[in-house]
Amino acid sequence: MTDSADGAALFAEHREGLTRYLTRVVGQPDTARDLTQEVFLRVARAGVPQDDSSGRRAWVFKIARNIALNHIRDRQRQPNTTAMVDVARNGTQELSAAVNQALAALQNLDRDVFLLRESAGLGYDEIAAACELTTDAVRSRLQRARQQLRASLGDAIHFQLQRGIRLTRDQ
Amino acid sequence: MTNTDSDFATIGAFIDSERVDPIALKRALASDEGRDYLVELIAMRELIAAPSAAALPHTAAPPRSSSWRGLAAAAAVTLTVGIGGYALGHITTVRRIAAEQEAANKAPAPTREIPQNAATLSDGNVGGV
Repeated sequence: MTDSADGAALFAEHREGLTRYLTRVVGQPDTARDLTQEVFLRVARAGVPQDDSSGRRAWVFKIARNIALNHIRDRQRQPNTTAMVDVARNGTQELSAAVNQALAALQNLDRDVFLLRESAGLGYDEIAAACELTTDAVRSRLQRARQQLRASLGDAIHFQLQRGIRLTRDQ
Repeated sequence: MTNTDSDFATIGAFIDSERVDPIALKRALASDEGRDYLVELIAMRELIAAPSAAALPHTAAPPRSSSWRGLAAAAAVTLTVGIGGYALGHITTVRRIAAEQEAANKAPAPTREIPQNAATLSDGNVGGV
């Protein structure tokens, strides 16, 4: 199999997780889709590393993370032209806004670690490889992010508890 | 018994499908605090997994269709009032003109009465004959 075929297969395997992760990171589904395509191009062009599936997954998400960080950096350089519109929000949108706000308040690396775990479903070792951290550092950052989110999302969490909870299968 | 950060990390690792020490997990879940943390982590996971709020700027904006619907409704009312007003004015005007014409075609009411005089009527000159 050629490198590009390997890359395409690897991308296809993680496409959903990539889109989910990038959507959470950049905050715009359309942009996330574009960035997902960029990940595909990068993965298809580069040679897929000779590694186990976990190592390859970490490699793909490392590429995605770098692309997302570059995008955010570029966006911060541009003047903000977003119009602030005060609109009525329904309950779901309120919750959603609260989650976004709480995520935005996290330290950048803590947020990356948290989202790679929660949105992309990576294991601790994979997150460590993608973020160039030790597994213990991942554990510690994840713990800190969760404590902070638990405090800032108190009302939203209680709302969710009233609706009932379900342990979702690992992403 | 109070949970330590390590207990919370164990609970977190457990729901992340990481390998944990069962004794450490039992200890972490032995307190209300630990069990509360487990339940809240699961709730938080559901919140994060919900459709991204990223779409908020799009979804929060008033739906375009509703503004068009409002505009269309306003236009319809304006049109109805306009056409109705025109029709009403037209009918009123036509009736008024018809009434005026009818009035104009009638012989005017006599302004004075001339008494009949037999002598005048028997005059041979009457009618130029």
